[in-house]
Amino acid sequence: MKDVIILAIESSCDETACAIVKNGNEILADKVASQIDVHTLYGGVVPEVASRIHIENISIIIKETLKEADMTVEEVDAIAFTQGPGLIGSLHIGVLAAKTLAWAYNKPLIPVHHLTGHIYANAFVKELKFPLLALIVSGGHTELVLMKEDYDFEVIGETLDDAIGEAYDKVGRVLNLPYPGGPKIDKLAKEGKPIYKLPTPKVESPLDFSFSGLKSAVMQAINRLKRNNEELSIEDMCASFQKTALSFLWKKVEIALDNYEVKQLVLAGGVAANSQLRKIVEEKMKTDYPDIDYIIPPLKYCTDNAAMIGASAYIAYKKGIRATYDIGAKATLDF
Amino acid sequence: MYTIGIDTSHQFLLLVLMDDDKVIDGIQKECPKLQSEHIVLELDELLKKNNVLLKEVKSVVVTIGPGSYTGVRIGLTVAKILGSIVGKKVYTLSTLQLYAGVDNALVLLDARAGRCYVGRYNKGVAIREDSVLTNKEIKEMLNDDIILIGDLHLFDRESYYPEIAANFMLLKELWQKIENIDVLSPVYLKSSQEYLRK
Ligand SMILES: [Zn+2]
Repeated sequence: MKDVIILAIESSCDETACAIVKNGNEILADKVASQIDVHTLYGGVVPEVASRIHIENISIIIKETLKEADMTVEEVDAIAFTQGPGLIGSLHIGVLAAKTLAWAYNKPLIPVHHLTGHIYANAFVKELKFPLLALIVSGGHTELVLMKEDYDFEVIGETLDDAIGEAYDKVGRVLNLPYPGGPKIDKLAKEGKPIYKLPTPKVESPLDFSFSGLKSAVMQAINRLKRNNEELSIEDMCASFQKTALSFLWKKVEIALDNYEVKQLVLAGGVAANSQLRKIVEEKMKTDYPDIDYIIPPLKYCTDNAAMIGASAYIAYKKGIRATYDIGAKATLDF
Repeated sequence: MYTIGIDTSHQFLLLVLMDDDKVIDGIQKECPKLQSEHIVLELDELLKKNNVLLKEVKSVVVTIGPGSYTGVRIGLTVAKILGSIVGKKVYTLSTLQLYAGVDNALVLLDARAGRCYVGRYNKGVAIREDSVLTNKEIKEMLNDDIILIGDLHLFDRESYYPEIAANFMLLKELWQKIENIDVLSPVYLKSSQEYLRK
């Protein structure tokens, strides 16, 4: 079969990214302009600031990607882009860049749902096997997605309030840690012990998540220590929060694995970079689910990037999914 | 050879097809918040309708603000890609300058929160620097010796938007050639500091 080469653009949050991907699993070029330093200054992603940086980066990042692959736009088979979900002002820049390129070079235009990109990032590790269960964990999302076949997505569990990454950031703020809180908490947790008791979140539906209560639970625990004139160990609090959040998360995965016949579990999204979560998946899958294959994406493909959009777009391309020039960015978007 | 003019920094989607000395065709349609959806489709239709191929277009002239932040970025993103990747020449104009055209005019475009972007131009040249002023400050500047353009409904007058397409051509001598297209970014006039978490 003829090779399919896709140029993909991602701009849904605070990374302006472009990649060129061959046949959905071979990266010919991959560039990310991160804004993390700027947003660290402000303690979080400020949408207007993010949009301003995207437009500054967009053309140079595409140019550098083409240069790295030593290709011209004429040589690619299609242009893919993240349509949503994400920050609307940020998405606009990537969507327009993709539409303009597709129009100027008369190439098919492929819309990609950001979260399918996170799932298909696993295709860079090995072939996906269906039915598949994806655990998507990031700053904006916490979802369990069942895929009976390629490009068929069914959300079987989701968060009712905060995403897990959001909870990490909020707890980080409570503990006066710099943004983003996730990696910092993960690191400090390794130096502490989970000695503080935090209540496990309660939800009605067995596969749904809830993380907003954890922030208040941490605050209450800190206040209790203050009242009793006891010293707070940041490391121990990080370890306690992380253990409570991840045990709750994993419990849901177990319920899903016990109730749906799947051949593979894949981890996806920014929080998939969490070292403790990676360890849990590795250990639990080996001991408790030896018959189910699993993929943990390399750290590089956990955070937002365009290569994963190219990987997802390859399947979309083969399925005949195309966008017309009047397609718009969507801040919220279902699978 | 042809030039495309683009302005999306206010409530209009404005696309103009020009040759070296005249406007050939254009659209000026009101589509607030939908410029992103329409712009590429309309560009495609504009060229097709006039039997012009994109490769016959040698340059793009685009407004760089001030105006709606998202709006300005829409036109500018398209222009940056056409310039940086596709290889067209890129020129810019101030949005207020485009609205003023060659008139002796005061241009007022809503900047929200009781303020306007203010441009004072004569024959396409700025008499004072583009700025953001409160509507109270602006009220004192209003006089009927000059042409008032823009969101005049904020000042109990009837809003007036000229035929902007023609202005692109009339201001041709004043287009700013952009040498390094990749670093081109909008003129916001308002700092993003205002949007930071307190
Ligand atoms: Zn993401």
